[in-house]
Amino acid sequence: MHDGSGRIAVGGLSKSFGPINAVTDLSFTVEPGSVTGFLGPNGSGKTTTLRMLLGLITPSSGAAVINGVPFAQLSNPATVVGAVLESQGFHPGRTARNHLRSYGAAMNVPDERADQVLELVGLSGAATRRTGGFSLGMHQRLALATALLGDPQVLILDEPSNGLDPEGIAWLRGFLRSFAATGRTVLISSHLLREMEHTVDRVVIISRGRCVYDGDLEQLRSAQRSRVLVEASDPGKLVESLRQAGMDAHYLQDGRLAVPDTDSRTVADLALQAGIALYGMQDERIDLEQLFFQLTSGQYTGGQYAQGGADPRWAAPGAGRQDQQGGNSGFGGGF
Amino acid sequence: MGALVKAEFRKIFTINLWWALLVPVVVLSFGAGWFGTYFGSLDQLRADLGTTLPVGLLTVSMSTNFSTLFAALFGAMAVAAEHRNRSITTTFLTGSPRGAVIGAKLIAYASVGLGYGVANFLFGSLGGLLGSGIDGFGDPLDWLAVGGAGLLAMVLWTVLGVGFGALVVNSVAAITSLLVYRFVIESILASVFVRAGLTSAGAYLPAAAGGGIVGNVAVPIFIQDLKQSTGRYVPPEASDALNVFTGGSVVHTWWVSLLIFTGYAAVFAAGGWLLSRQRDIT
Ligand SMILES: Nc1ncnc2c1ncn2[C@@H]1O[C@H](COP(=O)(O)OP(=O)(O)O)[C@@H](O)[C@H]1O
Ligand SMILES: [Mg+2]
Repeated sequence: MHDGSGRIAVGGLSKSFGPINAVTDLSFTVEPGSVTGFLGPNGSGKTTTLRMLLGLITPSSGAAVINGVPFAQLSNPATVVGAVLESQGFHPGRTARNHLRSYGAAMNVPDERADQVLELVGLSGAATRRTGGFSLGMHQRLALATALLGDPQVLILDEPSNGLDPEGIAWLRGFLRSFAATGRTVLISSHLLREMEHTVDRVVIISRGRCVYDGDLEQLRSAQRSRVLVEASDPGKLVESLRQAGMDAHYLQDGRLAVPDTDSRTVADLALQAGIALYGMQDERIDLEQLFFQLTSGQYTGGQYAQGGADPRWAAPGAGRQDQQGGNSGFGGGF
Repeated sequence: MGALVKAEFRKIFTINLWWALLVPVVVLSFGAGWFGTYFGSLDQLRADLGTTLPVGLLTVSMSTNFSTLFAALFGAMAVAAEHRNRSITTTFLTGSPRGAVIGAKLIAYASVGLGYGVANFLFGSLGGLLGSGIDGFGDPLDWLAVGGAGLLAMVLWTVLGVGFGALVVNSVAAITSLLVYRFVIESILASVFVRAGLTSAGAYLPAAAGGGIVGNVAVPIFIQDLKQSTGRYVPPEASDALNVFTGGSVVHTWWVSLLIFTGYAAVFAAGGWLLSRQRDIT
């Protein structure tokens, strides 16, 4: 039997589909009473991980447990964990209420529960409509209603904002926060950090199937770094003096210099001492989203970042971001 | 387990598929029973011989072997349709272990398949009654024997369908391959066997064995009655000719057909069950 802790633990989880390593040696834990964001670009292995956690995909190695046991060993699993997954469907000819009553029967909850969860997700008016006529947002709400049928202790959501309108997203955010506030567990995935910034307490960030960051969102935020962009009369000489002062600098495509981890004042003083004229300076603070791009732009950046080492990609985040664009330029809507 | 079976029943009866496939069962069995006995050559035979024969048994056998196709198609959708509309994810998230879910599906679908069998038997008999009167059924026990064999056939075909659908998963592929097999491939295989000199091998093929469950009850009873009531010699070819319509073959007695077909149904059900337990749902 499970331990009722509401804790999720993933240990050494790997999965390959033929030659593709979707998830590699992934370990993290999710604690009850908080909302944990599971972040990574498209194709980084989020869905695969969540489906392994839910017993839908068999891992190549490693294990994932909910309340101390693998999903397959939970008797009446839907009363322990509810999930809203990508590409989770409904029979188009079945009404919302009948859908919920069918699955409610499987988990042994009374039929009234169907109408309760419909009310909860704001779908009461569509109870007798067939799901084939539902919008994407209504599908998401019905999927959430299904996940809540068994009044689970753990809620897992895979990119739930897809298809939800801003109002729905705001509602979901509030719902998840209050769900976690009752001491229950929420694990939610997204490919956009910005979307989750106001929803999550902790984040697990993965890139190409590997964990690159696991910790508090606040900590990540405070680790945000800044840099200075400088246009100098003699950039070569400026680089020289910066190096002597123990600083690093890189050229940008427009000819400007980027100096990380410093401010314009320090750079201006240095330039004055070296007798270099400056034509323009700009302080830049890397926001959370850029940090996220950075973390996920290479398989091993996380380790370097965590050690506080100099990251070559830091100099030109624009370049670093380009190879990410396919995956990351998605929607802007915040969560 | 009871909860899972209840869930499967609800899933079945909250969409249209069950009655969409029941309609042809009812229409075909009633039509075959009525027209088969009244207008068909069997009626002519009866007039020539000047005696009543249990032709109703033959038409019930014939319609059963049409109806089993719908039972198999119905069964095939049990798992395959859930993969098609991706509700299989929800099904496995709300029922565990997976083996129990597939078991529940087998129970629920086989029960509905049994219902199809009852409908086929009742409407087939009703049609026969209208076509040839009560005389067309012979001894009530014979009638019940044919009906009972028909129910067995319907249940087993449904089970085979559930297993097949769980193996193939793709619902379009499952449906088309069932249809193509029944109407094309098995006859090709049978004729290949005959040409190779293996005349009785065809009777071991699934559709022939499945058809034999009821056909090999109905035809021998009919031939027996024919012999008794006319007192004439009936050549063995007569059985072959009847088997073309009723299903079955002279090679096996009905219970051998039943055993063979139960083997097929069990292999497909076990295969589908095992695969469903392992398959990644991505
Ligand atoms: N069924 C599958 N067969 C082959 N490759 C797959 C399958 N599912 C996922 N993948 C691959 O695994 C990787 C991770 O995919 P996924 O877990 O869906 O990522 P995410 O949810 O983060 O977008 C991708 O490269 C994807 O192409
Ligand atoms: Mg995904």
